[in-house]
Amino acid sequence: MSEDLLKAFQEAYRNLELLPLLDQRELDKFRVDFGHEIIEELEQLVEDSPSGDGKIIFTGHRGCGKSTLLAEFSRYCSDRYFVVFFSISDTIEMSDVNHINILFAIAVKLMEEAEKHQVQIPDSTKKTFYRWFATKTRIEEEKFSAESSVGFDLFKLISGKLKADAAVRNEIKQEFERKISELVERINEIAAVITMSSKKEVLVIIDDLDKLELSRVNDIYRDNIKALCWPQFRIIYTIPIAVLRDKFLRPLIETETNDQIVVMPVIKLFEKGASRQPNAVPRQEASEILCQILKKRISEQLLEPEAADKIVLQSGGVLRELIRLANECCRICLRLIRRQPEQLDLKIDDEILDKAVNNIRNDFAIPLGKTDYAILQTTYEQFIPDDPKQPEFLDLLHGLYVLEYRNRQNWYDVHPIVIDLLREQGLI
Amino acid sequence: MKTKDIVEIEVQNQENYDNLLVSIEASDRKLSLLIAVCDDSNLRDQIIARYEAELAPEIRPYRVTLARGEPSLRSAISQLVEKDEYLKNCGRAVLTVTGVEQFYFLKLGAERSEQEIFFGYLQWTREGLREFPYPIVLWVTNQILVSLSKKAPDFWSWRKGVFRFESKKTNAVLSTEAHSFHQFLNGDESLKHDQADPYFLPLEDLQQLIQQIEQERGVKDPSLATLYARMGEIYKRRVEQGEALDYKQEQDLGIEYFRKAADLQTGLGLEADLSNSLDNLASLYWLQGRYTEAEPLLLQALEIDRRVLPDDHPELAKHFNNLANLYLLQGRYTEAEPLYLQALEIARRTLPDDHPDVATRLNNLAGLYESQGRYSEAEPLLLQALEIHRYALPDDHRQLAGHLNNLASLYRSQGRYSEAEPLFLQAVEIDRRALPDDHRQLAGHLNNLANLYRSQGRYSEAEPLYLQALEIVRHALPDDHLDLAISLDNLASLYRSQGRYSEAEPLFLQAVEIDRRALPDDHRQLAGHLNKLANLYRSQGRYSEAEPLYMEALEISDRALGSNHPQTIAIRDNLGILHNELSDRLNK
Repeated sequence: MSEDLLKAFQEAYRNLELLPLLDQRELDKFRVDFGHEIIEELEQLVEDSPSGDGKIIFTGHRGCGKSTLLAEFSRYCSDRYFVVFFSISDTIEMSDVNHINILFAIAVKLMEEAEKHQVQIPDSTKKTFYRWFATKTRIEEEKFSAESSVGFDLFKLISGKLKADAAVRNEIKQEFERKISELVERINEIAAVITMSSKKEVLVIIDDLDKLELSRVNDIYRDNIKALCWPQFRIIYTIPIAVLRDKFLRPLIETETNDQIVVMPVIKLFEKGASRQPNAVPRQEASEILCQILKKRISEQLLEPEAADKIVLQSGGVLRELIRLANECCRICLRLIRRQPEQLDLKIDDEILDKAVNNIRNDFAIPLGKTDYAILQTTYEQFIPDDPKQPEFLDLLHGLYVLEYRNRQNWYDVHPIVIDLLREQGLI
Repeated sequence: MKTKDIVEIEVQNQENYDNLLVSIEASDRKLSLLIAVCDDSNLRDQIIARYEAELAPEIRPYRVTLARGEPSLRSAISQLVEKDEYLKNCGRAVLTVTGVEQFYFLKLGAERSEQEIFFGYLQWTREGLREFPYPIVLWVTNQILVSLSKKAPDFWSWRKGVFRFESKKTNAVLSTEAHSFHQFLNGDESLKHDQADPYFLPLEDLQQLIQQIEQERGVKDPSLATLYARMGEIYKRRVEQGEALDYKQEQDLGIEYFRKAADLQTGLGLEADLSNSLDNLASLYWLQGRYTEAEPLLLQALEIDRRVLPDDHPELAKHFNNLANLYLLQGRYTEAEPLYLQALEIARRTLPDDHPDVATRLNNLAGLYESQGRYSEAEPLLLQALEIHRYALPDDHRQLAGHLNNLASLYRSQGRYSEAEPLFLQAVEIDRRALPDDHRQLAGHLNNLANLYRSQGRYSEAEPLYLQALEIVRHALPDDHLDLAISLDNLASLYRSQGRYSEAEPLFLQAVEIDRRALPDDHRQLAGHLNKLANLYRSQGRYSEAEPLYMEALEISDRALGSNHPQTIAIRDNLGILHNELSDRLNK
């Protein structure tokens, strides 16, 4: 019955979700336990912070599972810490992100979370906090007394303002630009109140700071890393991986965070150079993880094992690209079923995969120019570009054209699908 | 690209159409970002109509057209969903978004083009799209597709598919985008508010929190560093604002808490916080006249921030300024000058020319020059500061009053009484409008105006002003506030000038009494008031009472300010005069 086949592929298509797994249900269904050494590394840094104020920088390639891992980590820590996990992009409009409103957002989110968990805070203390927040965000304070439900609404309202109201953000910037210490003291105070009442120390995790334009990241981290490291509790900040190439920023961040930088690596399918060998066999451990991820989302009845192996190879070890490729395959199958509703047996095979790879390759090709191709060529040949700090190279790295793998020494390789593009262009 | 024949194009378009269709069908109650690419709007509209018809009624079609000037995909969809019950209940639907092609890629004088703003929103509101559980078909052109992949890379990485449709015919180029545009004026600079309420926690809450932490987590708990400093700030503010119940005791408490904070911060290596605490400590010591203790703290704070901050950080300017103020007070003019100059330099480099902070720096440097008698150098600085404030602040701003007052004081020092008077009058006028009736700044300015009248011998005009000032200070400040001592001293000095010695004496005595209570033993103000009381006694011929007072005043001034400070010199001279008068008497 082809109806079943259609349903099966539709389900697989839906399961091959490109978005991070944030809620528990999704996690339970699809999560493959692979980043545990990263979780352990994070945990250790969090636990080992001697004065409870460690700052940790977390980074990695786009689509390699950072947000999913952070969400999992925050859940994992929540019985020992008062965890506040939020996405900066949900909080502040991008062009306006700066160190001041990051800090202010921390203050708001701390309170929001405290209200949500009904942390017991003395009314008079609460009232003072409310009034402070209301004034700084230009909300008429009479509306807010210290009733418990009110606080939550207040912080929702402030969150909304912070996100949508440029005037308020500007106000906050003006207000604290020259007296960050006042803001930081307030944050510390809130954290102390929460810690004493909840009996848990505060851990703030800010996701999506890595989505900022590099120039803005520069502004934020170059000039204001000290301010960001100022609060007296643990914070995990995300940054774009390209920042670690910056010869000025990297040492700065290393110094300020006491070298607490955690990089989530791309899953390494091959040792350096191995993929260039004829009939290269990927590292078993790596391909098993990736296969497992596929199996959780698409039934084995729909996918030839050989095709699955090939999808894994073509992903370059990047989770989201793995999913994208499988998803594209499903779409082709769905189309085939639609055209020939009578067919009963259809599996993703080499032919379908080839078509899918082809489609995705077209997407990759869209923005590439001459300079880009030259950089890709060099990287392919030497496993490192001529200038790893060149902006064009950083863009390619950011866009997953080039992947960085970690050994004792780092090396780069061109994304497997992009290698085909180079071949097409006659560059290799 | 090679030219493809029409048949090939049709086959590919059909394939992409089917791809799009199955993707929409499969995206059941989930966000699915589908990017459709077509340069031909007629073809695009045909395709949209076709899939909408084919998917209905099970999947309801919705259209969203992005509006010029509001290039946010998220808010456009949110507005649609807000209005529609079916969508709110997450019914099955397909959302077709058009209008992106109208966005200008030209900047037209703006900081970012409309397209760039659009991409910025896409990139950044991606997370926010998750709340819309529908397939969203975003129609773009090939030009936009290229930019989108570069400028909204994270949105791009969430795409669930790209579907390209090629036009069979060539289109004529559309008319150009030659609209005129508005250059938006920046909103006016929002003004700084004075001494806004810092919303400190209630003292009791904070005390309790501290106590709890000390008990449960020990006195070395890092969170205490902030909380101690907060306690210090609360006391400091109460003292400065005249809200302290016990002036001296609260100063001491402030000092104690900042000390504790500084100790913890030192232990934890929290340099930026430490520098803050040191600065606060110094200003409390300063209030108590413990200048020799304040100095090393200020130096240490400066040293820290020099190390950790960039050369032109405003925090450094603050330290330079505070240190210079201290030196000025101690009469160490040559040391003060380069510091004031550096503070001014930083302000000039980092702020616009007409920023009120620049005015403050100018004003302070002028104060130094005035103290040195370099009146001709001070005047242009004060005029400049006043000019800035006239522009930057409203006419009735209290800071403006402060600057008028300073210029007037300079003129008074120069004996330019007729120029000084209208300025003083304006300052008082502003205060009366801008401040509450019992504000100490008003008292200060009334005092200064009265001082002018006294200098001119216009005693009857001076007296009511002094009395008003005294009344305000008595009302607004605690019994042992130093301003009260100053006010008493001023009125007493007037009475002495008028020969009303018996009325002057109790006032001087009260002033000295307050100083002794509120200040440490070696404060310059105490020395000053002792000196004046001694002057009174000398005028009355009560030499035996005057001499020990002069001696004490001299000793204090020597210790607090050094033997070459003008105040010390003046006291020494007075003592000399006393001795001369005494020996004259004996000789007679």
